[in-house]
Parts: sequence; C-alpha cells; structure tokens
Amino acid sequence: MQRKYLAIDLKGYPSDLFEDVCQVVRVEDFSRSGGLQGVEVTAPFQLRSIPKGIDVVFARGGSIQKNRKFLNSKKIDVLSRPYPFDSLCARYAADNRVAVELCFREIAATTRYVRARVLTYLQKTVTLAKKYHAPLVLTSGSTCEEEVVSPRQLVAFGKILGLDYSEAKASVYTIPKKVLEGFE
Amino acid sequence: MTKKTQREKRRYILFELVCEETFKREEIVTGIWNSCLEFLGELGASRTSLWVHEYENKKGIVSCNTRSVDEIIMCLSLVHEIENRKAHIQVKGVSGTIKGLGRCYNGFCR
Repeated sequence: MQRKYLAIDLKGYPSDLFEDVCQVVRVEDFSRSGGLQGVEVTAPFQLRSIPKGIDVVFARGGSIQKNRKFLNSKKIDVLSRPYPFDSLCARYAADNRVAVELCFREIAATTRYVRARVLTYLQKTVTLAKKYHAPLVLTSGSTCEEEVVSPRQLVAFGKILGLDYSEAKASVYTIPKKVLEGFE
Repeated sequence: MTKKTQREKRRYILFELVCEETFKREEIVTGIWNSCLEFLGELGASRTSLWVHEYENKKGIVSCNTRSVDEIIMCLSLVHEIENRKAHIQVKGVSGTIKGLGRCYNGFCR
C-alpha cells in the first residue's frame, strides 16, 4: 500500500491533501472565481441555465425517471446521490460517460437507520456500476476545514462499499482526472 | 508463546485530532470505541482487534488486524464529537510497525 496518494476531490473544501479540489455550488448561486469550479443542478430544466466554462457539472438524482433524464442529457459530468440506481441507469452512465458519485458526507452526516439504508443503496450502486463499467468517483463533500478527509480515508470508504483497492484508488485520482478532461 | 504463524498480523494507524479543545486519552478511547460500535456493531467491532495505543499532543496511534484496516479508518473518520464536544479525526498514515509511522510521518516521534 502506498504512503501518499495522488488525489483529486471533485466536491470538497480546498486542502493540501489533494492535488486539485473542485468547489461545487448550486447553479443559482454560481459566481466566477479562481480554481476549479463546479455547479450542481437539481432539476432537468436547470440544464438550460448552466453557465459556460464550468469545469464540472453535477446533477443531483432523486428518482429513476430523473436519473435517466440526467444521464441522457449529455450536459452533465457527474450524477450525485445516484440512488435509486438500476441496471438501465448504469448502462446509460457507461455509454454517455457520466460518472457516478459516491459522497463520503452522505455517510458522515447520517446515523443509524438512515446511514444503514444509504450504505445499502451505495453498495448496490457500486455492484451495478462495476457490472456495466460505469465510472465511479469518490468525493468528500466537505464544506469546512474540519470536515476534510484524507485520500486514504476516501479509499477506505470505497473499499467499504465493495470496490477493490485498485478501483478505489482509480476513483480517487484517475477517473476524476478523466472527468475534468472530458473523457478524451 | 504463540507460534509465529498463528499470531495475528497488525497494522498501526496514525491519526490526528482536529479540534479546538484538549481531550484526555480515556475520552479519545471512548469516542473511538463508540464510533466503532455504532458503525460495525458489537460483533463487527470484536473482529477488528482494535486497540488504542497512545495519544498525546492531539496525535495518536490505534492498531487493528490486517483484515479490518479500512473499517477502522472509516470508524475514525465518522467520529464527530467526543464527550459532547466537537472533534474530527484525520487519518495520517498506516504502517506495519510503530517505528515505521514515526519514520515516515516525522510529526510523530516516540
């Protein structure tokens, strides 16, 4: 196992632990500033109002229909909060090269029953994504300095969800890099 | 003495506490164990061979068996408060020996 990990956090708070950190805001609150920037859309109609020159576009899932609409739109890069996630969604994600986000904060911010349900959904998402070769990204989702997690913690999170060590490492660096480069 | 082959291999995890206040070692141990019991349950926690070795100056070492390194890192990451006071744990590194942790992460020396 390596001692130091190269990592890119696609949704997090700037930290020295990562090579690059993308700060994500809601599309309504977006204002241009330095560094990597991303926006999150919550409804399909917001896809029309995405500002130009954004590094990463996130779409927040919620229902099967909404997820499929987002995955077919070709305007988004990452589907966050992907559950409910079925085999068709996984196939769309693989074909349209939309990454599926596994956010650490969803586990950290919940407890007991809700945490168990979220873990179940995420484990199911990982199984489907692995079967259909859909890209997966691990993000911290941190909003302040205290919440920042190290890349090793993200790899551990990926392993808990059912990824192999190498897959978890790829989800922390290789795939986020590809997402930023637009899967060229 | 246990035969070498029957002895469980261990991993040592160096962590740093991110908080404004200071905590005693006992409070840290309780916080980590509570997080483990919440996340893994009693049976899961019993299978990790978790042990908190030392803690001073907001840095500490826990050890576990090689099978449960990731589970313990997750449990450490999920600590949000200790004794009703806000505290977060950041994992600094993993090594097979305590000496190795001191060598590679020179912020921690025994």
